[in-house]
Amino acid sequence: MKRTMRRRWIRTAFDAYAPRLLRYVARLVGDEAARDIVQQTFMKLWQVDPPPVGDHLAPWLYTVCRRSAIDLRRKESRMLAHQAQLRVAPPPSATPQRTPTETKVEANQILAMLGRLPEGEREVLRLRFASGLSYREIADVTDKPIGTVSALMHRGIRSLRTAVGEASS
Amino acid sequence: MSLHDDPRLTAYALGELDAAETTEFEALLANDPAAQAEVDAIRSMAALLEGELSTEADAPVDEALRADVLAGPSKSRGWMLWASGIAAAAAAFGLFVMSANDEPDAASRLNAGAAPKSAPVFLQGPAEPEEKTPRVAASVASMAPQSAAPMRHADRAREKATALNLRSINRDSRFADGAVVGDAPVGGYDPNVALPPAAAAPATRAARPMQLAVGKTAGKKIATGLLGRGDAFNADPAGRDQFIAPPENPFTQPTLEPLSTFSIDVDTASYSMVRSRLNQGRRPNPASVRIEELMNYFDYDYAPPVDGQPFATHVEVASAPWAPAHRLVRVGLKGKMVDRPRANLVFLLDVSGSMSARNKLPLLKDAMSTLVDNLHPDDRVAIVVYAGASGLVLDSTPAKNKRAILGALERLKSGGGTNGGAGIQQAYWVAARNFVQGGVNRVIIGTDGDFNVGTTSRHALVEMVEQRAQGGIALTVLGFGMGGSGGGYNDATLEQLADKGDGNYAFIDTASEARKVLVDQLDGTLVTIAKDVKIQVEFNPARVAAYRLIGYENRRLAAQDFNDDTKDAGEIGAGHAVTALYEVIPTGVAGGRTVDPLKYQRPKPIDPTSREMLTLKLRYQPPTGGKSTLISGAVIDDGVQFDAASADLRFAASVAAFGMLLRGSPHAGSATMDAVLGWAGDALGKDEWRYRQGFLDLVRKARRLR
Repeated sequence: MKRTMRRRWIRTAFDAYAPRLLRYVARLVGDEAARDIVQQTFMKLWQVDPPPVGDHLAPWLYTVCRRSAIDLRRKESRMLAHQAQLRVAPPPSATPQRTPTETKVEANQILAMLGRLPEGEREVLRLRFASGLSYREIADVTDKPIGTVSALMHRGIRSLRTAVGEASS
Repeated sequence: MSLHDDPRLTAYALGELDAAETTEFEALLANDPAAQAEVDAIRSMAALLEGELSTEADAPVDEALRADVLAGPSKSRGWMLWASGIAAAAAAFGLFVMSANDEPDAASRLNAGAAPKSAPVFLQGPAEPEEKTPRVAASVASMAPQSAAPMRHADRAREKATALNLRSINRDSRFADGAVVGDAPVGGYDPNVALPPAAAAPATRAARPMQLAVGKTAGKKIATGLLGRGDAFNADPAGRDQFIAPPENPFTQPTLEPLSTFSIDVDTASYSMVRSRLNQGRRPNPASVRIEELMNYFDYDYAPPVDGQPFATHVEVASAPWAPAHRLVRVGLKGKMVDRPRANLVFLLDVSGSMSARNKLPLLKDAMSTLVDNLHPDDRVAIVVYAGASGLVLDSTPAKNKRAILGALERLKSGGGTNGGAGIQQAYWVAARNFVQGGVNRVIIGTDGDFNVGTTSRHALVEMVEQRAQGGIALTVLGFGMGGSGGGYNDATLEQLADKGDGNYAFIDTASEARKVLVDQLDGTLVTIAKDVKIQVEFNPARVAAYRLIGYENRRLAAQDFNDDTKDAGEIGAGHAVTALYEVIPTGVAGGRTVDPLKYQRPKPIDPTSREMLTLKLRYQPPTGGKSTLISGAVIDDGVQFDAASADLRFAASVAAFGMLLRGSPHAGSATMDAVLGWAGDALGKDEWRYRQGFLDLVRKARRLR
């Protein structure tokens, strides 16, 4: 493929996925490292031939990002063991504006409740609802059997519904 | 095991089951109302989550990062992390990585610990020789030290996130779709698939109009009828509707012109337009006010025909409320009732940010309200929307509850990203729940092409659409505003879906197109019972000094066209009611003579003994065409006053007066909006679905504009 054509293709891919990937990776390792990981992921996209297309592009990008992030976390936990825990689940880089309406309060509660779920459930829910991946893609990205993803998703949504029910009663 | 604990419950709600699993699971669901309720609850939670997470601020994508990425590998930095990412990818996507270079052991070496020296093989890339990309050795050397930066700076205060740019996400999501659309096998990468469609778009667009669903003759004819007339209702290419006002019919003396001939008209579009303008607090364009369409918007309680006639004719005469010395002649036709298949329509509407353009969502809403006006009362309509979140905004509702449907339409607002995958699942779910055996069951997608299948793989989606079509739920896709640089590949997805869904794909760019196509969709549900229905009235000069047909300006025919079966006229559908009003100035009342007496001709002999006011003649052809049939009868005026007339006549007269006021008609006499409120308020009849009540609301809105 000609380089100029590939550049156009990369640009479209970058504009489509970079914001979501950055948000996703930032939750794993923080904003600074996320920037580098996302950059490297797209650099990698320059290199692969044939490039992942169609249904494969999103899981490919998420897989590369996620593994880089996990590697980084492992490395950090070795080097900065006492700080490692801080980085497990950083808070969102910006919290949505709180408005006094009923639904917004409920919605904010949802995010807080999401944060309290076990990491496995939280991760599949985020990959699904923040990043729009399918069960199959989530299974590929997280390296879990699809049945596990299905069960995590079911439990996660169940817990959130229960939590919302308790909060509103 | 209770379905409650079955993970398939969530998988089903999210559309993750394949076709066979779906069938199997739906069988289980059918006997378990609690589980059905849970499916809905799961979907609500999913929508809430999706909505909440999508409004979370994205991490900032700074221009420097973008520039670095677009510059390509030669400027890469932080390669150590990158290398480990590659190694990770190598595990999952070995074939991509292995083919990235010619060194068979590259991946394993990186995996082992990412020695800097192994990096260059990845950095070489597919650069064209002529581009003279700096080779990597240097950049590796200079970039390597930065690999530690992320760790050093990881605890820095985080940059403030920028607001999510919906427009750009929206546009960008096309890419995702585009990539998905191509159906390129993993190994066979077609650059055209994922590239912006600039080059391919013109061809696609040129081809689009040809793909419009051209209905069978009946559907097409009805569409023509509904759209009205090219001469009065045109839409320019930018989607702005242009109206050319036909002058109102003047009073005519029967001594000069005894015959009044016109085609019936079952359009109601003008009422929708007037309503939408008034609801926006704006005065309707007088030229858009077509009084016959306002009158025909409403149902009238005319008795259906007996003895196998296609329609019944009901004539009533009373005084005109705005000019008590004048007489109103109301001609009402009622088509026979025919059992036709009921329709179960589920609209899946894209309300993402890009749909807010005036040639998209507003057009769709307008067309849908026209459609709803034309549905049979027992047809059902549901509305599912998709954007950042997807959800059911209107559960399946009988079309006779027009108010609820129109209310839901009014409330639709655009905003948010696009995720059609979840939406289409839900739309089919609603359609399946309200399935009409032997009827028309159809999901209708309205989108501008940002159909991000998102959470569902495209393959599974196509399979589901196909399977649903076999189960009797068809799919129609209406594309909006897909001209310009946007079109391209998503077109292909949508078209493929429609194709598999046993449906049609139509591109809609103007209001007139929207109405036409939506009514074409009704092809299977509307039954024409007579076509080319023409009315000819002969007035008796002994009783009538002058007459005037109210409205129908564009439907007037020459007297000789009445008996000419080659002259087209309007259709009447099953159960349709058509109303026409004449305003008549009786002989002996001032104002009847508008033209001086003729000097060289004597009026034809008049039978002074005839009490007949007029003779009404109707001509129609069977729906399949062929020789026309004539019905005729004489009408005698019994001198009934307006107050004593039927509620139907009084209401039709009120609507006519309202139309005349909106048009600024010189014939409106003593009519005012207040007077219209009074006349119509006394003529509501049963008004089971509150259409007439809705009319009162409109009159009040119009009154405030004065």
